[in-house]
Amino acid sequence: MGDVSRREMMKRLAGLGTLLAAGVVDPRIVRADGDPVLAGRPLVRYPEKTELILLTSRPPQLETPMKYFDQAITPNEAFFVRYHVFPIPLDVDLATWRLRVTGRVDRSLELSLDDLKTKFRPALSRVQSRRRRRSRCVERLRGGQDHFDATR
Amino acid sequence: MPPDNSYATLKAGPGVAVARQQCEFCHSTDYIVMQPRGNGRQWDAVVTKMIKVFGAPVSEQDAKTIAEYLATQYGN
Repeated sequence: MGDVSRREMMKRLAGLGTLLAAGVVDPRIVRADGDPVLAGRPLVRYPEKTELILLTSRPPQLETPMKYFDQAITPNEAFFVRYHVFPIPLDVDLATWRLRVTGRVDRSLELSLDDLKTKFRPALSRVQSRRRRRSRCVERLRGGQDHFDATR
Repeated sequence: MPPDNSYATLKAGPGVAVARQQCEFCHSTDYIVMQPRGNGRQWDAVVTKMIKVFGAPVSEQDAKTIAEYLATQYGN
């Protein structure tokens, strides 16, 4: 990418979106079988997950296969996995699991999964790894570059 | 956890044993083979990051050996 700034890259990506919408760029270029990055990559099964595309083994970075993208919501077992540091949990006890909101907030929060399900309005969001958009840069950057999003 | 990725075998060359032992301690070697090629300065920065940012307990001599191995086998 050289001296192209992040802002400039975002502008170019936005431009690409416009081209895609207009049907100028062939969207089939992201298909795994025509993709030199994805082609031939193995599917693996990690604890609590279904078969996912292997990017790295340890810490695991696993991608959601294309077949899940015809569903509005990605199943948990197919949701992409990205770990950078240890420890890597092999199972999660939902009875004791808590989401903690701390730091620069007026009021710290500690929420159980049941709290999340019952005390808030449901919302749909696209979850994207922060590395995601870098994978299509022509000059590869360092680090693990994954390709697909997921929705929950 | 499944075993490490079998396609991530490091290339043979001087320093490969040190690189394998020290790098694999924390991460699978697919992290290495999937990276874009880099010159000596770039690989040296990667090894330094592993030590200073992630706290890898690698000696100065081993760090030099690993950076030289990477720049030779995965250089540009």
